[in-house]
Amino acid sequence: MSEIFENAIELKNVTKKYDGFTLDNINFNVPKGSIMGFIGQNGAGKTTTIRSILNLVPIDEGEIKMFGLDHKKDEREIKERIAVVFDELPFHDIFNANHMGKIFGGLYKDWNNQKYTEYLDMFQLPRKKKIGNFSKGMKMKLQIACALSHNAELLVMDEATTGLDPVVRNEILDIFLEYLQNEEHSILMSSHITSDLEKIADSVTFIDKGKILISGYKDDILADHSVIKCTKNDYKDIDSSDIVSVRLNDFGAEVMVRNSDEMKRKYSGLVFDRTTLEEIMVYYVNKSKKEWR
Amino acid sequence: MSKLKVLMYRDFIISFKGKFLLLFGTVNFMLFYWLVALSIKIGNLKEAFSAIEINNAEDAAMFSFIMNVIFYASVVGIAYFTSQVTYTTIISDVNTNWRTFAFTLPCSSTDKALVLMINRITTIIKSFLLSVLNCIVLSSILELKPNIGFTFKLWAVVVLLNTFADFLTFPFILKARDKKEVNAATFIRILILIVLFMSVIFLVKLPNDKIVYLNMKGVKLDIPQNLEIPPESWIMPVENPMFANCAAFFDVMGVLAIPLIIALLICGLFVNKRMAERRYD
Repeated sequence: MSEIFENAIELKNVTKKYDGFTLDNINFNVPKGSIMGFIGQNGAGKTTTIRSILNLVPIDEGEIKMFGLDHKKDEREIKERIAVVFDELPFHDIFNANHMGKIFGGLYKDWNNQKYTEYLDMFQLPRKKKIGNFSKGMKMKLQIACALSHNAELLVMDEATTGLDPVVRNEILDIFLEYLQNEEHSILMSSHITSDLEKIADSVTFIDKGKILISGYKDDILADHSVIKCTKNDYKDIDSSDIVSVRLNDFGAEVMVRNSDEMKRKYSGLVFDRTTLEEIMVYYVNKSKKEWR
Repeated sequence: MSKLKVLMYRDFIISFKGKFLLLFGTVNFMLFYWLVALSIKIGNLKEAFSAIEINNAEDAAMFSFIMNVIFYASVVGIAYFTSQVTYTTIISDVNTNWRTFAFTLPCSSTDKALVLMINRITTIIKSFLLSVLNCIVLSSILELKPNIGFTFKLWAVVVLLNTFADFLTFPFILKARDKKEVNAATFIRILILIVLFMSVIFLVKLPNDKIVYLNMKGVKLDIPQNLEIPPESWIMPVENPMFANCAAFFDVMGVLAIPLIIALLICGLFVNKRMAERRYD
C-alpha cells in the first residue's frame, strides 16, 4: 500500500550549532520520486545536514521528517526504508562481498539476495576477494550494491562519487537513474562535483557557510540565472541589486544575474550566456565579495 | 538470520584473529606450566627437588608452598588471560567508520549491547573450561589434591576483576570517535586493572595473628606462629601451609564473585545500551 506523503525528506528551520560553525535555519524538501542534488563547497555544511537528517548528530532546533515520519521518534521504521552511502566504505577490510550479503541480509527485512547478486555481477565485483584488496571504485560499487538491494525508498549519499574516475561515476549515475524508474524511490545526493548533479538531479539545493543559498528545480534555477559577458564600463551600468556577483578579468566582467527573462529585456544590448550549476555555486559563494577574480 | 545473529557473526569474523592469538598465547602459557610440572616429576627439576632435605615441619611447609605456588600461579594466570575480551571489533568499528554507519541501519542499541554481553559470557565460559582443563592436568602431574572450592573462588575473583574492568572501560570505548580516543580508553582499562589487582594484593596481605598451617593432606602442622613468611608469598592464596592469611579474603570474595559478575553483566547491558544510543557531535 502506498503511503500518502509528498516529500521523502522535509527540513523545517533546522539549526545545529558547533563551535565556529552553525547550520543556520535550514529549510528544504526532497519530493518523493525525485533526485535532489545537495551542492556546496567543502565545509559548507552538507555532511552536517545529512548527519542531522539521519539523526547521527542531534539537532538543536527545527524539525526533520522522512516519509512524513519524525526522524527521531520513528527512527527504526525510517531506517528500514532508507539506504545510506558514505564517501568512504565503512566495511571492515577482512570481509568479502559474500560476508556483506549475509550481514545485510540479516539486518534488513526486505533484503533481496538475488538483486544483490545481480548488482555484484553487473559491477563485476568478486565474491570472495577481501574488501581490503578492492580499488576505491570497487568499494563504492559494493556499498551501492548493498544500498540498493533492500528495496530502500530513499537513497542518501554523502559525496559518494567523489574520488571516482569519470567512467565509474557515469556507471553509478546510470544505476541511480534506473533506481529512480520506480516512482516511490527518491535520492538525496550531496556532492561538490556539480557536473554529476547537472546530469541526473531534478532539484538542487545550494548551501554555503551553513546557510541555504538557493533551493528549487534544477531547470528553473538554470533558466533563472544568466551570465552577462561585458566590458567593465557596461558592467557599471548594471544595477547592483540585479547582480549576484561579478567575476572580473583583464578583458572585462562576467556578471551573474537572476531573473534571466526580465534582465534580458532590461539590458537588451548585452550578451547573455547560459550558466551551469558550477558557475552558480561559484558566483553565490562569492556573493558577499560582490567582485572577484 | 536475526539481527543479533548477524551482528554476532560479524563480530566473530572481525575478532577471530585476535581471539585466536589470545587463545594461542594462553595455551602456550598453560603448556609452560605443564612442562615445568613434568620436569619436577620426571625431568631435570626432579633431581633438584629430590635433593631438598625435609627435616622438619617448616621444610615440609616450604616444599608444599612451592608446589602450591606453581599450581595457583597457573590458576590465576590462566583465569586472567582467558577472561580477557578482545576489543578488535570495537576498535575496527571506529577506524572503519562502521560505528557511524551502524546508526543508519535498522538494528537497535539493545542488539549492539547484547553482542558485547554475549561476548563477555562466552569468554567467561571459555575461561572456565580452560581453567578446569588446566587444573586437571596440572594437579595430575604434580599429584596435588587442590581444594576445588578454593580454586574456583580464586578463578572467580580474577574473572570478576576483568569483568569489572570491562564494565568501567566499555563506556569510554563506546564513546570513542577515533583511534586516539580508543587508545586512551584501552589505556584507562590497563590502569583500572592495575588498581584492581593492587587493591587485592593490599587486601590479602593484611596481617593475621593466628595462622593455621596445613600439610598437603589438610592435616594441621605444628609450626611456630612467628614463622616469617617471605614477602613474595603474600599474594599467594596458600591453602596448605602459608596461605591462611589471605584465605579469608578469597573465601568471602569468591562467594560474592559470581553474583557480582552476573550483576555487572546485567548493569553493563543497560549502560552499554545507553551508550550505544547516544549520538556525538
